[in-house]
Amino acid sequence: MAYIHFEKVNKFFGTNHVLKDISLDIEQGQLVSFLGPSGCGKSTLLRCLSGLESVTSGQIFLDGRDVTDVDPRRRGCSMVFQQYSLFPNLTVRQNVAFGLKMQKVPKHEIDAKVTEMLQMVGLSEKTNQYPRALSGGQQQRVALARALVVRPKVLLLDEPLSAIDALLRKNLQIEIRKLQKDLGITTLFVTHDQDEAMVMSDNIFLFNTGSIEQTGSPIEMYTKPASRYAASFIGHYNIIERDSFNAKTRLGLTCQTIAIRPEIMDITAEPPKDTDGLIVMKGKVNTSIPHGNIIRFTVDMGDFNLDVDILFDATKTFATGDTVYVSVREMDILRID
Amino acid sequence: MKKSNALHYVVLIVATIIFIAPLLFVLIYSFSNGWMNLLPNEFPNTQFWHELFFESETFWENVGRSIILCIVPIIISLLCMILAMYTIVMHFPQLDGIVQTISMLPYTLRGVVLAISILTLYAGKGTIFSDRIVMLFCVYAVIILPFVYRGLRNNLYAINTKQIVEAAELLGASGLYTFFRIIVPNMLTGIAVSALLSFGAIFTDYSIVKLIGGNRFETAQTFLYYQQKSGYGPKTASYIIMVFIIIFSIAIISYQLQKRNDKDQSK
Repeated sequence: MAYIHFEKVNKFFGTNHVLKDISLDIEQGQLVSFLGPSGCGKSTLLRCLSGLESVTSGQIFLDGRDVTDVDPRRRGCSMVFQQYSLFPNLTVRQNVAFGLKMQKVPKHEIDAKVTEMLQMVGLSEKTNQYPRALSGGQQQRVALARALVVRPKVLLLDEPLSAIDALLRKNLQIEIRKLQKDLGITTLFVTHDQDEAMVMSDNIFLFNTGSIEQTGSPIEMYTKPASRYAASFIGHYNIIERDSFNAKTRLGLTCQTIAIRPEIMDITAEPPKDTDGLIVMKGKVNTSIPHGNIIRFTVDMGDFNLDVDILFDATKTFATGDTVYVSVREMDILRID
Repeated sequence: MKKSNALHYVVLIVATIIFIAPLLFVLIYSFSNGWMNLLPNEFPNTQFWHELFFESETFWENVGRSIILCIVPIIISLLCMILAMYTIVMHFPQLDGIVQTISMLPYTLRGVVLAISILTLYAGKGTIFSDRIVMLFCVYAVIILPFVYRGLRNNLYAINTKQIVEAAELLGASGLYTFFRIIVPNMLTGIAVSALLSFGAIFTDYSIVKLIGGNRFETAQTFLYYQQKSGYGPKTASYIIMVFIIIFSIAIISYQLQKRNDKDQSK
């Protein structure tokens, strides 16, 4: 049996069926992400594992033990919340020491562990400050230290970076991943941000209205979305109806939907000379928006639009209304039924 | 910009004068022996202040009774509301609207109506609630519900109580430990504000204590009322100023406590 195992877990809130027969396995030491839009059940599943929510039916196993009805205090789960949830009347050190104190760890041991953990999260200078004197990022680090210092069996992160600005968020993503790897703690990470899930995870579980739509490594999820929903959620796929695509390319595909990643296409002012294995579509530039070192062109193909990402190149600048040729290898087109 | 600042100062000065002037005149009056041609007579005359401090035992007894009459209902109301609001925030958030409506009822139900209704229901029935003191404690505990509810509710939601309790629970803390060591210390500001507002409301009430307590139970307010009716003006003024000083001192102490609490937490 896997380290964490959900067996046909169902959860109802009144008549609302929030989790539908969820069965999944998570191996020890992994960082897995529960990815999906708001209200899809990812946080509820996390809370069911922690014991903060009970399951309506099904079983949850943690480290070989059935914890379905075990008190949350005895499951060995630590959680970091979106809003930090630090204890406002306790200092940084007292916050981090809280869990160890509850475990009745000797005082000298608490001091040593807390000091070590605060060093790990880079907050040694802030030990005697109260949470309100810290920035959002620092507060989240304290929350992380508080959760990690008790060496939980599993660390649960419920959208912990959602309230933090973009730059700090990227740094914290890397820091959390590094800490998780150093300590080898099995971690479940809930997010609605696919980039965040890609950067941090060993595995991703993509949720769709209470069910798991697709599971896989970040690369698998990105390159092989199994459904239209997965393709629309992961990456920035161009999703095109078969008939429109066939009319434009005369390919005669039989699948329901075609998905093409924006970065695997090329855009040129003239049709490419060597068209072997290439599909070339003529269109007009609608918009061009710079995203850092990438420019995203939206090209009007008649019945549909295509987003094409290219690395910034001074020789490849197109204005709105310019006629362009978008080319993509036939093998790079994803056929989704 | 400058014009706007000047206007602010003018409004501030006018408002200060409007609020301070009556108090100032009462204070001057209490150090005189009456007004004569718009000026205080025999100013400064400390006779009435001397009497107030060293000879007026009745006044201080009444003040003491008023303070007890404030403290007991505040404790009753706070205890009930802290437990109720904590339970609602944690387990039954859908009941918040109902509690809010109940808590706001004293605003719509005037004190006189409430006092008469209570008397009709409980007076002379031979139960513990027939005792006029107990009755007063209970009535005041209900009357201050709006202040207590608003202060505590805002505080409980401001500290994100549910998530804090969940975080503590996952770290191994029991519900009681979390309540007393984490939640209550973080509610001290709300408790202080609620208690302060309630104290002001009860201490300055006259009608309810008069209706329920009658002549058997005198407080600072009923004492002042009789003094105003039959006492000597400047002497009454000294009592009024003293009552004001008591209320003002309690406000200052509460404010300082609150400030210290805030400062401790922001260190």
